[in-house]
Amino acid sequence: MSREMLAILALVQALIVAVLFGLLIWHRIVRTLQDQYRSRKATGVTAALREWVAGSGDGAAVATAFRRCPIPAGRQGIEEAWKEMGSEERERVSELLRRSLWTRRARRSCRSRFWWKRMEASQILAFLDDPADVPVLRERLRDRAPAVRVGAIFAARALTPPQLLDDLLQLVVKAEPARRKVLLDALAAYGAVVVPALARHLEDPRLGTSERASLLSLAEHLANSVREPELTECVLPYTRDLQLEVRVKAVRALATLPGERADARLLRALRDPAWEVRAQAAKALGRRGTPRAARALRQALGDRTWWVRLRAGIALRQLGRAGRAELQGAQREADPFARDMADYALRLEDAAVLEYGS
Amino acid sequence: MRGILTSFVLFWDDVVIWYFVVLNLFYGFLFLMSVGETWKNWMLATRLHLSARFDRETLPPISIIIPAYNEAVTILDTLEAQLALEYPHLEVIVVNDGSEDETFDAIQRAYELYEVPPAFVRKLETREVRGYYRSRHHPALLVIDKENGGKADALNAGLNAARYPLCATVDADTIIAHDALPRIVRPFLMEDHVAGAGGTIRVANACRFERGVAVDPQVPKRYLAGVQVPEYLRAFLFGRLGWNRLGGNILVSGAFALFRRDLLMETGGYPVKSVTEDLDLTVGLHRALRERGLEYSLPFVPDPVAWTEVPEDVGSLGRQRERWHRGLIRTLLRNARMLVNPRYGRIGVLAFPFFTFGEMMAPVVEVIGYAVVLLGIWLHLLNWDYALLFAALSLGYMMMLSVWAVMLEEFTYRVYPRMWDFFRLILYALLEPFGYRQLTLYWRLKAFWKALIQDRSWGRQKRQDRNDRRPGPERGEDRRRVAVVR
Repeated sequence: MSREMLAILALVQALIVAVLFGLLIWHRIVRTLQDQYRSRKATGVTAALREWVAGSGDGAAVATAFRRCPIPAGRQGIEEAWKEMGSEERERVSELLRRSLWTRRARRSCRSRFWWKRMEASQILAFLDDPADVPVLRERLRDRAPAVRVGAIFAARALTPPQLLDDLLQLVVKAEPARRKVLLDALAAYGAVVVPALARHLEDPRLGTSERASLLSLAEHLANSVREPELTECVLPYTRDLQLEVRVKAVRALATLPGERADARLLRALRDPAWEVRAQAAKALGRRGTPRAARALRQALGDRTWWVRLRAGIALRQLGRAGRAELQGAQREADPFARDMADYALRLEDAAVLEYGS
Repeated sequence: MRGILTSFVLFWDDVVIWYFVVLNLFYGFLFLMSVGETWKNWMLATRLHLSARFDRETLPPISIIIPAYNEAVTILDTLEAQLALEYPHLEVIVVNDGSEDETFDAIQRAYELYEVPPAFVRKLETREVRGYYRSRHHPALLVIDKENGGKADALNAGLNAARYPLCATVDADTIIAHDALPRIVRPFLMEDHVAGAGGTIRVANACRFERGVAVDPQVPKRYLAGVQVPEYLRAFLFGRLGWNRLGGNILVSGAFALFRRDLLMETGGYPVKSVTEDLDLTVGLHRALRERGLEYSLPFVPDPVAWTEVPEDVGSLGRQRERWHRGLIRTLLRNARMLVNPRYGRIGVLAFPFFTFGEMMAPVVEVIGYAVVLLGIWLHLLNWDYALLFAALSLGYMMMLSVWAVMLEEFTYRVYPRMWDFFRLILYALLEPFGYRQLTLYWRLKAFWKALIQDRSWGRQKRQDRNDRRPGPERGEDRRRVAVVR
């Protein structure tokens, strides 16, 4: 490399460093002003919405607050006001926002060619709860940019009635564990209306093992809030599935589902050839507090797998007096497995028993 | 003899110059790649509102694993900070790795522990676990008491017991920013096939913390700590973001990272005989997942922040840097079959050659460069104008990269709001090539010797009370916190 070349490079480098310095100083000043403006606009939106909800401000004041408001600042302002509102107030605000010019601008951004604009706009649709947005949200759920899809899931979750139910169910079967949780929550928020759609999707013969197991996770998730016998009925057949993963998920879901048939199926699952299913069944029976399971659980104390024995022991503790009596009986048994586990389970603190079953 | 020496000098002169040109062209390329990534991540950080209240409950649950060995003085503060994190579904697992001090007793007293049965099958082999404990006040806390087996062994015990599909590993001397978890989980929500993600590590030395939250981030006034701020910025904001575009990072920092538990279990967890278990784990994951032909990514996410104490004395810093470089040498040699091997994709073809020739060998080439200059002077071969221009160019280039990293920080996250900190940051970026760089060169060269003699030590740990360095009204108001330099 010649000396002249080095000199030119050094000069260019020095110029770049000088430009970077200039940019740094300029940016610090400009950004400070910009941040102040955005924060002012966001605070203005929040205050206007709060006043409007309280009845002390009018729609014109809200429109003024949104005038020339950058979309991120507007969203931030709505979000801040949203936190303190009840569902009725939120409905009123949604109604107001649907008519605003600012929202129209945000809606247009839903189809922008820039992914970050589509992402921002999709999230704003969550505040509108407008059935008219269903087609655009359906597009965004399948957007090529992953971030837009996440924004759309959150917006779809806020829609009442759940018009994107089937779209979300299709996404659940393919999602990885971390993303599945978001989708499951979105679907669980819809409540009982999901059950018939879930039953329909579960019966789809094209589903693979892990896909069916994902849908059964939804049943387990729903069981916390939906106590419909239909949900139990839609899970029951899968406790006898050929695939271990599916059986385990089905038994887990039954832990909190209502119905005598669920108890009977769990008792049968205690004799499943796979220890994973037997262990889950023992845990589920403990969680359900089924007194007639005490005898079967005592037998499970002698299971050849330690995990099944442990879960049966804890389940018996969870059954209360009846379970404790079975454990004390097992302490006198000839089977050393059952005896040892009964000893161990009786020694556990109540807090440990409660925690294990949760 | 003079003829041989002259040929030697001329040959190595060319080698060093071309090495410099190629390496710095690649840095320039990395520099360009980081621009788009910075923009993308900044837009996501500021506009995808995962932590907004009405979305929080939907975030996937996370198990945080904290390995603790002789951390009696720090562990309660660390736990308080982790348990106060803003995240809806969180489990904090502390693994007491056979501490010889009162680490376990301190936790037991503060959190009223009671023994619980194990909840999951132990899939990774570890040293014997003495017991599992939960707290009467904090249902999210699980304490594992086990025999000493090293940091990697403790992490594996934590992985065995974790109940959630995503596991964050955090060093016991590191404080995660209160909003870091909703941020680091972002790539897992956005894309399938994310195996793990790393967050940014920032220098905590001059920062004031209140209940685990950095309320007053500052650039340290002491040279040795301060000069590491632009160095960390360069490594995280520019280096790792650039690598995001070039096929992924070969290092996801263990001080703060989030992984898919199932993949870690399948690939055997943390390698127990390593001195840089995070580097070994990341390279091992790349290797295992590529060999299985699985689609995956290991992105770096710049906005989730964890604060860590950096060494402030030459001895501790030297031991840390020597160990880091020794770990790099050992990991690269152990996985030498990945080098320029198309089977491992861009990791094999791009990242491995860069880390082998650009990072691992850099101190050797630099020392040869200095030797050639000295020989050139002795043989009257040195063209002083050319040499000075070359020195100015190389120092200037390094400064430019550091200033660029400061600029990325300033244009996006701007963690240091004070003007004085901003100027101090630039000053350190300009001072870094003088003295500090030469010191790190010495430590990295020493690592070659230690790697050769198969040294597996971590070096002595030095404990330091953060508040002792902070005279003024805030002293004594902060929670006492002792840093462990690893």
